[in-house]
Amino acid sequence: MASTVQQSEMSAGEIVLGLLIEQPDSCYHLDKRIAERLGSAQFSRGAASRAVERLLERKLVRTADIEERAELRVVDGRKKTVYEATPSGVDHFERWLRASTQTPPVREELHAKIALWGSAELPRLIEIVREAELACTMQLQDSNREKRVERQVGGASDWERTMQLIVSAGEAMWWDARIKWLQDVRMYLEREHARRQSTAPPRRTRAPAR
Amino acid sequence: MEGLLSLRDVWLSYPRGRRHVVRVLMDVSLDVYAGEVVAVLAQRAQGKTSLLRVAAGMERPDRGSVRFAGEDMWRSAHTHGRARRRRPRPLNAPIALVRPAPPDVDVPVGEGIALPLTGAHSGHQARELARRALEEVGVRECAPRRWSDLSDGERARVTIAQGIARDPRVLLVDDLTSTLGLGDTEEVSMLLHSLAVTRELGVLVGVGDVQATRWSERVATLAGGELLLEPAPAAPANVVNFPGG
Repeated sequence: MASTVQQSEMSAGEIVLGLLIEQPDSCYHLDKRIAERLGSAQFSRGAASRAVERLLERKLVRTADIEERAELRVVDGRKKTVYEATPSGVDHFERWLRASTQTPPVREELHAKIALWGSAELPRLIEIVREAELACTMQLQDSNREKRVERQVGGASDWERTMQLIVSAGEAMWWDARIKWLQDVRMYLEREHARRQSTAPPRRTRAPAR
Repeated sequence: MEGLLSLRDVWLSYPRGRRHVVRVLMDVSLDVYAGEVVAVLAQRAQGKTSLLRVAAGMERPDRGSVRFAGEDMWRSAHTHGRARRRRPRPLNAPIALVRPAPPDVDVPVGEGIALPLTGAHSGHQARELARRALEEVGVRECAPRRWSDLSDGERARVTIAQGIARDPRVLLVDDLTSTLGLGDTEEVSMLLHSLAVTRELGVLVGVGDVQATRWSERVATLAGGELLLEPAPAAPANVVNFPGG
């Protein structure tokens, strides 16, 4: 069956819908669950409530009337609305889940900048690449921290642990490719910069003093 | 706050021929605190092993300092006169650098770990230390087996045992996970993390891919001799600091 779901990249909509099918929840808790499960996607706080709004319009979710899960309803003493998926929401999610995925396009700012930079001002470009590499590493560190906490909480089944490992490995591969690319770019640019400096005005090479 | 192991503005180069030098490390600064794993992520031939050798005191940097527990590893080497002509020696610090032996080494695992310890211990003590170290990393049954017969995952664990058998305070691990699959990489990284915590050990690992950094407290990247690290890292809360550093 051909899928009617038009989806080229991950949006918060399907994620929120999937989480609500797992368990009806408030927007506050949804934000937390997105961060736990897909931290590296870096959805902003409030992404859940925006997604819920759109899902409400499409009648894929509705407010739930759950009395027995009272703990979900009260956050910091304030009552929160709890949402659940509608039958058509479940249907939409199932179709999205089973639809073939498309390869995401490489549409990335730094990539474009390098392509358009030209040959002037290499030191600034090197600096930008260096910053990107460091920022990437810091994000990786944060992600590692979250993963560690998540895995130390325990109580997960074998299946859940395996899935955590696989999802985490997928992220790790992405970081790996990204960081290695940035390192290569930086080294090529630095080499090119050094070559230009040595061919332009004659300069003494500094050997490090022992 | 200075780490248990602290590198400051370290430069290292190797001569290539008469005229040229290859710069391996440029202005590298790094702290490793007790109780944490720090990963240095680098591709091949980017100075990872050199960095670990400098940290272990096996290589003297051209410039900059390497300090263990606040003490300069090469301070005694700065003496003048006759001492200067001798090969400078570093401080004898409890730092262990390990990397897996080539897979074709045909030695029983227990003996391989015990033998280097016999300088400081009796043969019986050394074997006991080896046995305990293997037990601590969960491969006690490997002791009588030959290194060449082990799986890659077992070799990684035995290599760690080799390090902790010396009861170091800083463990430096080179290229441990590059031959491992996903599951073993995860378990070995987790093992290093828990050893760091339970033994209050500072661990510095050189790794070639991000998967092996997943259990590290901090990640530094090294390329072209330049180390990038989160600026001025505050010691993480769960980490035991070296007092008075």
